[in-house]
Amino acid sequence: MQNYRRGSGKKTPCILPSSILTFAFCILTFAFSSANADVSAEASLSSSQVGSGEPFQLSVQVTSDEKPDNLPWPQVEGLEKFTVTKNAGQSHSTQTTIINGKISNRSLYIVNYTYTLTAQKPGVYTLGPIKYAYKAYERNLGSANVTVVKQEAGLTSQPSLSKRSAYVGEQILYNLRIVPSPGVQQINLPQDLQKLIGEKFWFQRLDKNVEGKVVQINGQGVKVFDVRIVLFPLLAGKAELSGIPVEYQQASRAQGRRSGSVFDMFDDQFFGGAGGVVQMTAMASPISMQVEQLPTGAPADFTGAVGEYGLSAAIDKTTLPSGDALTMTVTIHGDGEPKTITKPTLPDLGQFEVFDPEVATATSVQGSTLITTKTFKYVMVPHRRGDYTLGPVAFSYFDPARKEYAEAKSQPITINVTQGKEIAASANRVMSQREIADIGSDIRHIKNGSAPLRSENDFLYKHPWFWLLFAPSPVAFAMLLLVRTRSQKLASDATLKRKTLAGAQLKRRLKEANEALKQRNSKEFYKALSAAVVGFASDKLNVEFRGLTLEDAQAQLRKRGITDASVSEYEKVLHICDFGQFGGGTRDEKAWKESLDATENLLRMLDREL
Amino acid sequence: MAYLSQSLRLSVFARPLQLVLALACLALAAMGPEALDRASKAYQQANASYEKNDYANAADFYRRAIDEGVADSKLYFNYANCLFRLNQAGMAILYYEKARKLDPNDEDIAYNLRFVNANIIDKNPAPETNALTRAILFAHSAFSINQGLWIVLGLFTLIFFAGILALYTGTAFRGALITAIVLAGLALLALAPSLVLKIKEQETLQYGIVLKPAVEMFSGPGETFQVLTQVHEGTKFEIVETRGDWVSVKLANGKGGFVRLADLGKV
Repeated sequence: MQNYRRGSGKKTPCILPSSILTFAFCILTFAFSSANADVSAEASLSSSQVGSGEPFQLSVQVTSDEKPDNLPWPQVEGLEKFTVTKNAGQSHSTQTTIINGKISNRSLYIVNYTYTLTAQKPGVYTLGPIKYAYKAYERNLGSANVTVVKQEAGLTSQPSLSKRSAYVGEQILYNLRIVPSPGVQQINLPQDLQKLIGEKFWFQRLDKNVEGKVVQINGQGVKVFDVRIVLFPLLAGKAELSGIPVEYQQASRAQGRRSGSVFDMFDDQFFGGAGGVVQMTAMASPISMQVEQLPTGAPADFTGAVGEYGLSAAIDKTTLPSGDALTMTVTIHGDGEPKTITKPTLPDLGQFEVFDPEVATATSVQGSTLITTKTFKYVMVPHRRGDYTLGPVAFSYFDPARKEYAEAKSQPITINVTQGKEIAASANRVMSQREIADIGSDIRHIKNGSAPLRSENDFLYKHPWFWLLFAPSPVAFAMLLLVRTRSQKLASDATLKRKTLAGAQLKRRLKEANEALKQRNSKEFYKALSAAVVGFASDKLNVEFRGLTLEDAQAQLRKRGITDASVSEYEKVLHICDFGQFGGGTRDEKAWKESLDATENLLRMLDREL
Repeated sequence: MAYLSQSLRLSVFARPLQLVLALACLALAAMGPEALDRASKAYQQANASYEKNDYANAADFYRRAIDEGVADSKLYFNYANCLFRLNQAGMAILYYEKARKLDPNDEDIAYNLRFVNANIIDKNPAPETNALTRAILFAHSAFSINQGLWIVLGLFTLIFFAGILALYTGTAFRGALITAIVLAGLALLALAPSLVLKIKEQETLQYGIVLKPAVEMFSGPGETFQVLTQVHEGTKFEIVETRGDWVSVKLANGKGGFVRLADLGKV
């Protein structure tokens, strides 16, 4: 046993007799004083020799006159070879001293840092150096060797699954077989199995108490304990069950460790020798499985039941008067998840009032299977007398064995309803109308009408002709608006109207002249020419030329800015016309055409100048 | 004389109408009457096979009709039904979507599409929307592009026609005509944005349907990128862009990634 004590900066290693120390602990002590606080630290090991898998503790006790809120954890090297669980606890005490009649009180805070260590493999392990640092100081508390000797596990735990591949919702048996060795006194399963099993399963333990049984292993009768848990996968994909720790107590200290040392002697004295008990943990190995999604095509009333199901329906009376009540009991049982058994699909019960059912659920274990039985009790009241055959009551589920959706059905039920109280639709009855229920579902049928095929992806906006269709209406509107405005303007201004229509009048008169020319009517021809010239001048100047003397007409023309050449031509044409009308004229067609050309030339000149 | 003037008036209006009809016939005839005839015959044979539950044969005839270049919602719908019967949910959804694109108001198409979508593995719901948004979306999807264009043309023409009548009628009808113009104008204003959006969607938005049982979605255009998720047959994507053999896609819930082009069917 090694022991080191250092206090308030006195760095004096000391070796103390082991009998003075508590138990057989190897204690490393170190005390020091920080700049602002008195601090001392002690490290101790619960045992320097342990069995594989057997836990032991390394404790570091720190005493300080400061509140321990800011005290750090010790620094321990060599922990990586162990399974470590850390824990810390603190306490407080007051130390009173009287020196020369002077009383002084001092508060001490003690913090215990405990490392629970377990080594699985035998060997000699070094723990340390163990250091404690606080504020400006850092101290080495020393190190210690721990010898781990091989120790046969007190028990083995073997997990197994009834199936490595299953559907979502299908029942699977997880069996954890525990084979204890002699000396194992108590076995405990963890309380929080849900945390270990995870969220991918809904589970239930099959047995409240695990009873041991003897099985033949390698030709020998061995006592085993089977922990049976049924699992229902909730999600598709690969699902892994992490290892389940099994804690047990075992009689401590194998014979091989009894070296006769002082520590063993002390140990024997304390624990009662070879009869000591240690807490051990055996970890069941993880196990994985594949969970398949349910196939598509589920019936409309499928509510997630997966497994093997049966359904039966019965009534409490087969003959009753109308208005009386009967009870139909529907029982569904199966090995799927209990919650997935929902109300069955009832047949058409139009002639009955049907009340909400009373539901009872029970589970039982048959072999290694959890069976859920759900009972629905429907109270039904027939409306009218008659013989009724109720169609089957049904429940949809997925059968993983056949890999298809199936339906559990009852046998049809015959009821004879005799004359009783005829029930009209009464308002005071507690009955809710039912929705029109879907019995099945499918896609709608193909369109098989006589409508011809047509290409519907020929979008109109891609065709210029479609956009041209937008043009006529605004163009027509604009034109009609223009026409209307002009008509209104002409209606309100006679001068403008006469001037505007001068061209049209001229055309009409020249047309008459041409007609006369075709008919070789000289008089009419020259009359039309004269009317055209005089009328055009009158319309354009808004002055009535008819009745004016030639001189007056010429004066009017000059007054309006007509050139002398045009005025002379005007005079010339009128002379020709007068000669043609009143002077007998000529029969020469060439002369007529020359007259027509001269007239047209004059009119063009007048049109330009007016 | 009166007869002559009446004939003249009729011919004035008849000529543009004849022109429009001729142009429309030309446009419709672009596919070719022989192709349409062959497609119609294949369609009738397909329907007959379907009625006899001979879905494989029916699918073959529907396929022939589609290969003639006919894009008809009835044809797509019937073909989709056939594919569903043949357990090709992805292809069925693809053709229901194609049919719905051509005829968004058809109840049968909408029902069957819902039905098949309810039976595929992936649930890919669009984000929740409020009642107002749903109403707007309903109105938006109440007509096809061509229907909308005809309505717009009708309203546009109505406005000017009523304007012309208002010019030449007395004050007794003018109020009613102006009311009609205002209402038609408002309807036009409400319809035009929806139609513009539809045309923009038609030209720019493209959707794809997963056709294989399971397809991995990667974070980039290649198998060396990280697998983000796995999607299954029938799931609908918005296609954001195509990069060689890979397409960048977006799910209805906003999640995106890259999938192989060969694994998709474009709506």
